[in-house]
Parts: sequence; C-alpha cells; structure tokens
Amino acid sequence: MKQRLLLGLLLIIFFTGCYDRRELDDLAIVVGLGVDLADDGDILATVEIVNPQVLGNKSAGGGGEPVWVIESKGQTLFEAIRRMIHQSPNKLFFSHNQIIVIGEELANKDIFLVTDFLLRVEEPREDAYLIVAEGKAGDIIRAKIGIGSVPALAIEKMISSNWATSQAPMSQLIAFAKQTVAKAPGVVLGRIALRSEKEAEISFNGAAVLKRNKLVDWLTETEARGYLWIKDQVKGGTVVVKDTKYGGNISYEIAREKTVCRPKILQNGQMSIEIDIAVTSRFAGLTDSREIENPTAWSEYVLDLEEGVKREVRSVIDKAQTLQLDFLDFGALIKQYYPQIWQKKESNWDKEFPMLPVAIKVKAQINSVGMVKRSR
Amino acid sequence: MVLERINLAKKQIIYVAALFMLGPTFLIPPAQEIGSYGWIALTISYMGFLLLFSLYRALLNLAPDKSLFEILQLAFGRWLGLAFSLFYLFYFVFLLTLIVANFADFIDSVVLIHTPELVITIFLVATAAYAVRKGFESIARISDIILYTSVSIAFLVFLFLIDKISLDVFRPVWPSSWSPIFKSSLSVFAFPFGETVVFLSIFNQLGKPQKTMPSLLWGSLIAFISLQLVTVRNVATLGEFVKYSSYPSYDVARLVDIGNVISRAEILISINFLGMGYIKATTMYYSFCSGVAELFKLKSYKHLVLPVGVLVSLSSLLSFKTTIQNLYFIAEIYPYFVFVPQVIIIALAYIVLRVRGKKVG
Repeated sequence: MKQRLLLGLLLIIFFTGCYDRRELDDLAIVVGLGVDLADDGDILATVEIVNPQVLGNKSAGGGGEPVWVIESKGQTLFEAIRRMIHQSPNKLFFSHNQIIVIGEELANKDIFLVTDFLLRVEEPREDAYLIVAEGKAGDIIRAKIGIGSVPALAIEKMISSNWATSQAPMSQLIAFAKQTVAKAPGVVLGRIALRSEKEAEISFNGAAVLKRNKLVDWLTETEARGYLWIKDQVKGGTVVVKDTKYGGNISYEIAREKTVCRPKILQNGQMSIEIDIAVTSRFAGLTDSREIENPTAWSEYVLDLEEGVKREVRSVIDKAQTLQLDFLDFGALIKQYYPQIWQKKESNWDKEFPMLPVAIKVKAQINSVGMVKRSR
Repeated sequence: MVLERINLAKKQIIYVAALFMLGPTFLIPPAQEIGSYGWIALTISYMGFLLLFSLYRALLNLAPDKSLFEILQLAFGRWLGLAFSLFYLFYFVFLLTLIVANFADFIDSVVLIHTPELVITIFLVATAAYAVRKGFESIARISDIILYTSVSIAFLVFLFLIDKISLDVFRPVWPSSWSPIFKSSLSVFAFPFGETVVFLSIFNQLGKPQKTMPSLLWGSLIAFISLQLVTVRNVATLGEFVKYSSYPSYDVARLVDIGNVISRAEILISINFLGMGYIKATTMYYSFCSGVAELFKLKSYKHLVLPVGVLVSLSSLLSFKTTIQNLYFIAEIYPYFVFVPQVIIIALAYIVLRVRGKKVG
C-alpha cells in the first residue's frame, strides 16, 4: 500500500505540469500599445514587442532588432489585437505593457472604446500610463529614441521621471477609471507629441483635456503645471519669474509643496474655492544679482515667486472656465464638504462653474541660496 | 447524543470562527456596491450580528448539550423539527455550493483562464473532502497558520499602498440617503455574519457553550476588524471604481508598486482567498455531513463525504455562469432567503423553548 502511494506521489510530481503554462519563448511580450482611428472608422492598434533574445545577449550580436512593431485593424480594439496573431508567431502577452497611447482622432471620438477592454481583460495592468498623442499614436510607438534599446520603456521612464519638471500629469489607467466612475466632468491625461518627423524625437509635456470620453482641448506646459498645483502633484520643477526691477529672469527650483483645496462660502452666500499652496524652493539661477543679502530684497524674491506660482494656477483656472468644463473637479470638492448645497447645484453646474470665484493663496519659502551668494 | 467529540483549544475555535466569517469576503468585500459608505454598512451589520449572537447564546444556554437539530425537534416536535432540520441541511449544502462556485469562478476568470472549471472544482472539492474525512480537528489545526498569513498579508498590502491612498473619498462622511446603506447592511449581515448559524450545528461537539460562545464572539471581532481594514483599504485606493470592480482586493494588489521591486502582489490576495475560503468550505462541508449523519442516525459521517463532494462539484458547476450573476444573487436574493434560517427559525425555537419553560440537557 505504502509503495503504491509512493509511486502515485512520484507520478504526480514527474508527470504533471501547469495546464495553462506559457514559456517565455512562446510569448510576444508587449511593452507599448498605441491605438488610432483608421480612415474607415475601424480601430488601428500598434504594439511594440520586445525581442528578448536580442535584449538578453548583446555581446552575441546579430539576431535583429531589439523591438518589433506590428499593427493591425479591427472593428474593436480586441479584434485588432487578436488579429495580430496573423502576423506574429507568438501570442501577444500584455501583462508587461507600460504605456497606452491614444491617437488624437480616436480621442476626439471616444476613449472608452479603448479603456473598457483594458480594464476588463485580466492581462493588461491598471497602472500602465494612459496618454494622448498629438497626431497618430502609431507614430509615437514607432518612434526611435536615442537612449535605451526599447522605446516604449524609454517613454515610460520619460513619464515617470517627469516629476523633475512637473509639467505633465503622470496619468495612469486606474486614475482615469476612478475619475470616470466617479462621474468627473473632465479628465486630464498626459500629452505626448512627435517633435519632428525626420529625427523622430518625441516629447512628453502638457496635457490633454477630455470631456469624459472626448478630447476637447490641450493644456500647455504652464497650464498643466497649474493643474498639478491644484491636484497637489507638483514634485519638482522650475518656476521662472521675470525680474522686473533689474531685468533678466530668476529661476526657482521647487523643493516641496503642499496644496489644500477647500470650498468656502463667501460673505454674500456665494460658493467659492480656496486654494492654499505652501511651496518651499531654492534659487537655481539669477541672471542679474540683486542684493541677495539684503532682507528687504529677500521678501521681494518671495513675493515674485508667489506671483509666479499664482500665475500658473490662474492660467489653468481661466482655461477651465473658458472651456466651461470642470476638469479640475471642484464640483467633487463641494460635494465632499457641502453635500446638501451640491445636490442643488449639481444639475446646473456646467452653467455655474465658469462664474465660480477661486481664491489662490500662495505661501512661498526660499530656504537656500545655493552654493554661492553671488556669481559675479 | 453527540456524534463525535472534537477536542479543540479555545484559540482554535476563535481562529476557525474568524476565518469562517472572513471566507471569500476578503476577495469580494461586502457592501462594495455603496463604495465609500461600505464601512458604515459593515458597522451596522456587525451591530446586528451582536444581537444575533446574544440570541444564539441564549438558545444554547437553554440546551447546552444539544445540537441544532435536536433543539429544533425539541421546540417544534418530531415532524416539524425534522422538516426544519432538512431545511437547514439544504441551506448548508447550498452555501457550500455557493462557496465552491465562487472559488472556481475566481480562479477560472483571473488566474487559470484556459483551465476547465471542472478541473478546478474537482481539485478544490477533493482537497476539502480529504480534510473533512480526517475530522474537524485537522481542519482547525491549519486555521491559525492561515489566519496569521491572511491577516498579515491584508495588512502588508495596506502598507504597500500607503502612497496611493486618498482619504478624501470618504467625504461626505454621512450619506444623503440611508436606504441603500441599510440594504447593503442586510446583505453583509446575511453574508458573512449570519452564516455563523452553521456553528450551532457543531458546537455541541466542541464543548460547553461557556467555552464555545466567547470564542465565537472573539472570532467575529477579528473578522470584523480585518474586514473593515480591507474595505477601507479598497475604497481609499480605488475610490468610486470599487463599485464596478469584480474583484476589488485583487485590483488593489495589482497596483502595488514600490520602486519596481515590490510589485504585482495580486498572487498574495489569491493565497488569502484560497486559505480562508478553504476553511469556510471545509467547515460547511463538515457540518453538512455530520448533520446528515446525526439526523439519519448513522454511526459515522465519513462515508458520506465523497458522494457529497461529487454532488457539490456538479451543482457548483451548474449554479452560476458568471461573477455578475453570483454577485447579483448575493446582493439581491440571498439576504432575504437566508434570513429565515439565520434569524427567524432560531428566534422561534428560542421563544417556544422559553415559553414551555423547559430546561433541557
């Protein structure tokens, strides 16, 4: 009996395996996905697949390109992706996909055509970056980047190291889903653009504003920074202020910041939003040295910086109010703090939002002059 | 008559009770449909459970040595008691089916997509059947390791997510309309808290109510706190998206990413689910088999285990096609149906015994 049992156990160990296993050499690992609208209204998907054999042993040489880009068309995104099997020897594997680029035309039509599939299917991850391309998404996926052998991974890095300028939102798919489900009137996604056809250089800056599922406008770098100030997502970057007194520019480097947004009822009973920004920064460049040791001049520097930040925040609020689209989600703030008042306002919010008074208070601190007091 | 004596330490009863209540709820947190108010529904339903608990305790104090089925026969007479007992057995096997279906559905739709559901179900049920045949003591013995790992995994995932958490979603704190909250509370009350009625059928095998009932209470407290942690974590991480996610805890763990080193923690959640669901399934399985044996005066429940396993595997395959149906059933139909065995029959039995003034056992 014991021997039979032992035999059975041995059989289990040696003669079984994972039912649904897929080995690395049977997978086409997708690292980037671009989705466009084809001319005939179909979905055109472009994927970037890494070639692990080339990536693994660079010294061996040969073996072709490190990445392979294929595209395919279908009535839905899923059909387009499944049809890629006609071109690829291996089945596409999406668990390592880092970026999802939406082409401008498709974003103009309906971005939900893409996001539903990505959220529903279990392979793609929700923390991939979801960004909108100015122009065709396929061109972005196909673009070569000077550094690193896998362009999609380079773009992913470009996005995640964007905190150093904080001029574009690091928008992930999950954040989009959260806002959409919460019925936010507008969503802001990062913008990626091809800078020149010849060099195939790309840049990730600014942002795309979507009215729920449709692209309505773009944000400039400054406006995107303003958006990030409001969302408390500025992690670094420079604020450049014109030096009115002495000429030239002063650049401040943002070290830390903390933003608190609260709705407030004004004395006349009107609803308003108050934005409090506390920013700590240091001098990063003075084109013209003022009397930096002089205490009165110092407070002017602080004021200049505060004005600079205020301008950035104001620019995005103006943009939102001219667009008549509350992509800053002030409505949700009012709902959080004054639920009763919000119930009355909710239906008419589109009309009320452009008139909403917004007070911006910036408290700046300059805590370092740098390694030198003066450079000339 | 006591079919079988089970020797368990107090601690083990606490762990089994806690895991039984947690069960699959770690994966599909209750009250997810009301999003950020989930914690309120959870608290209300736990209050309800405390009332239910005092009812159960009072009933067991009236008849300390009796099992649920004997109490039913004492209260309602032979035939009506038998009918109610059969109803309870049906409820047990039904709940077992539901859990197995839940399991297989999750594994089939998330982890092993191309594996036939039958294969998954057979292996799950076979493992459970093996444990049940070995007796309740062996089930209880693995409970502490499962509880420790599961709760610490839940807490660990919470810590890993600390930078992605936003507490703003909990504003406004009080809902504008309470009726959906109460409706969810009822469904949380039925699943998982009210399901502790199962323990009434095996507690007489475990010892005196003075020993078992406090353990049940402590177990429920552990379950409540852990569930609250999971609910708050999911809502704070996913925001309103939690309402539409099929497996919120799983989604939450997918978002874990600490410096590209600690990431893709979702498999931890699967381990959690398997461990806790296993305890729940085996407890239900054991209760059903020992209940049948007791009711039909069999010498042992052991030869019932395999046939029951086959029936459960098949009926779980036939029961639900998708998670949506499963969740709809749990939210919309199940709470009203199980209110009868969980509360009404027990309350009736208590009143009858009390009025008759019978002190039994």
